[in-house]
Amino acid sequence: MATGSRWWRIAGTVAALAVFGLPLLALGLDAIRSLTVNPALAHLAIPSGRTLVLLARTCALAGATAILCLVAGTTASLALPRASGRMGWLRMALFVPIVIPPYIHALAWMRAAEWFRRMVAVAGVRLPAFQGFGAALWVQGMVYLPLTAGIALAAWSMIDPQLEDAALMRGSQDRSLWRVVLPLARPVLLSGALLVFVLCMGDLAIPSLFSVNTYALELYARFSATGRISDVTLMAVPIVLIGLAALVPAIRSISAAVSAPSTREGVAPGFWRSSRWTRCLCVGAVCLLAADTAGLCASMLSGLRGALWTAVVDAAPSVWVSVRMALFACALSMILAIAVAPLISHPGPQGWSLCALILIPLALPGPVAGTGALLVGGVVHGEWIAQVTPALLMAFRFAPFACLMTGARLARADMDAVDAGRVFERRRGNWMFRVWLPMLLPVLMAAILVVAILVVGEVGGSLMVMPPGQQPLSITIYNYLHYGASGTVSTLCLALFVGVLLLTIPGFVSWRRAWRLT
Amino acid sequence: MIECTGLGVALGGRAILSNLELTVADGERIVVMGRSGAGKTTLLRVLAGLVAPSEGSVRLDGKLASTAGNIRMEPSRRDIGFVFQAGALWPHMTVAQNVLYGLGDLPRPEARRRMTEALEACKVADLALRCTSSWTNR
Repeated sequence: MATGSRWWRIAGTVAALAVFGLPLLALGLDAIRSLTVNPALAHLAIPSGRTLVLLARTCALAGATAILCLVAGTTASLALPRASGRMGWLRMALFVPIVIPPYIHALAWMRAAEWFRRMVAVAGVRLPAFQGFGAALWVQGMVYLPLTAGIALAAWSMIDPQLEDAALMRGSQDRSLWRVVLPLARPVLLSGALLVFVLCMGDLAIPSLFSVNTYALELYARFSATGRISDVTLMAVPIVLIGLAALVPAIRSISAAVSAPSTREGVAPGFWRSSRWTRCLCVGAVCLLAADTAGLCASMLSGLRGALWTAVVDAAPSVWVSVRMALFACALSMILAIAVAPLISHPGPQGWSLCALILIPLALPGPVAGTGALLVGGVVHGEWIAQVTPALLMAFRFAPFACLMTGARLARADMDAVDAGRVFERRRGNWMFRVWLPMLLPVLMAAILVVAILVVGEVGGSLMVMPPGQQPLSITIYNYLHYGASGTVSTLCLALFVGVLLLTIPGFVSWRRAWRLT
Repeated sequence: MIECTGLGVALGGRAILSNLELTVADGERIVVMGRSGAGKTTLLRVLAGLVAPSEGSVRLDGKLASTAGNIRMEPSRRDIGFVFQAGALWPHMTVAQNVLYGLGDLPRPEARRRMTEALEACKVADLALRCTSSWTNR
């Protein structure tokens, strides 16, 4: 079966409709049904009064975080690329926080702030508690700083080295940076910031820990108070529209940057030859990145002092739930990516419609996505559906990343090589396994890594759909954090981190190897 | 005058050039030939100051331009012309901006006059405000 055949199109469309379309359809139908019974509910979709304030605060927090990450991530990445070769491991270490869920960052920074307050108190200075908008902004910025720095590195590697060399031949390092390198990388850099904006808009873990009431928290609170899914759906309309407006331009650039082969190893916009001010800024941003990594390590290692083994054994059922959910979601995401990518890689009405369908789950806040999964789960009878719903929800929320990344890689693939495979392969269909899939393998591996990391750390949607008596490790940690059991939290965070590393290292190694082969 | 003394370049842990001695006198023309991967482009990039040598030194008109691991003279200060294989036109700039970038050190009116002259000489003055991305794809 060829990837452009009718059967492939049907299979891909059915798979996308089943995983992405059904929860959205369920949410839509439920909202319409409620509106027909009580048309006055339409006012929920238009924020006013308190909800308008919450929406404005959420946008302000997400926007400020995106700007902080854009500036710090870009400047940090300018200093990093030269650190290749023997120092490469140090560069990799700075990106480890990408795989650590946001609330673990929050714990590390809470502890660091508390330690700093005590130190300052000795000198007689009383600092306010590390709470509120500023604290949430700082922690969210630190959470997404490695992500934006990584996207910026991908952006540098996309720039044709000859264009940078040509700029250097006729201008100083700073001039070539400001006039050529940054404008060329601008679409990808801005897309990274927009992605951070969308992720922050739907996040409820960090704002709740720092007592900042946001729109996503309000959605969760509304569902907890009323139990009416339609209310949550209608209230989510503005946040989804804002998210989609940010995502549409962002996704294509990021996918292209992540899936494009690097134009040269260790590409750098000549950091060491730039002006002193530029270098100071860049080194400052790298120090910020290093401080985040060091704080995380110190916070998690303090868990070793506690009863590590006992805590992990106690949390073993949660670990198992997390691992099971991640494996199922990754497998489903891979199948979906292979099925859907050929359809969205080439422009056309069907491709654009599928792209739009795939983007909506990314713009949905976790609690709303969770209620969509609940609605679908409620239609099907049987105990098994309650067990499968969390994993299906994870695929609904995060498989779009896998589909979009694979689609972007396919759009840039050398189709002559694929055609040559089809011509020279004697066994019918064997070209797919010998040419097509190996060509996609690196990006599929990268996509699976992204999905695994996101699933293991997810909280917002899991809170809604986990069956009684079951909870993933992320929720266990989140609950302990609220109760203030910081010793146990450190221990479990360490266990979670080791688990994530064990899950992601084989994928990362395969990804690197696959890149070298292709 | 270009003088390379004991020049060596290693990229990614692999020696591309080693112990190269080269002197090009004023007005002299030379051709560098070699098989693919021999290091021809790397040599030109070292001379232009785009890559630092890993050993040896480069002198331009008697001035030390590059030493091991160090670029002492910026590429734009070396007064070296360089024609790139793929043209190296910056796609986010117009044709006029591409030419003006190379005239950055001149006063603005003088730079604009020279840019107009250059475009007219190449018979592309009517394309001055076009982005090079659309221009090169035609």
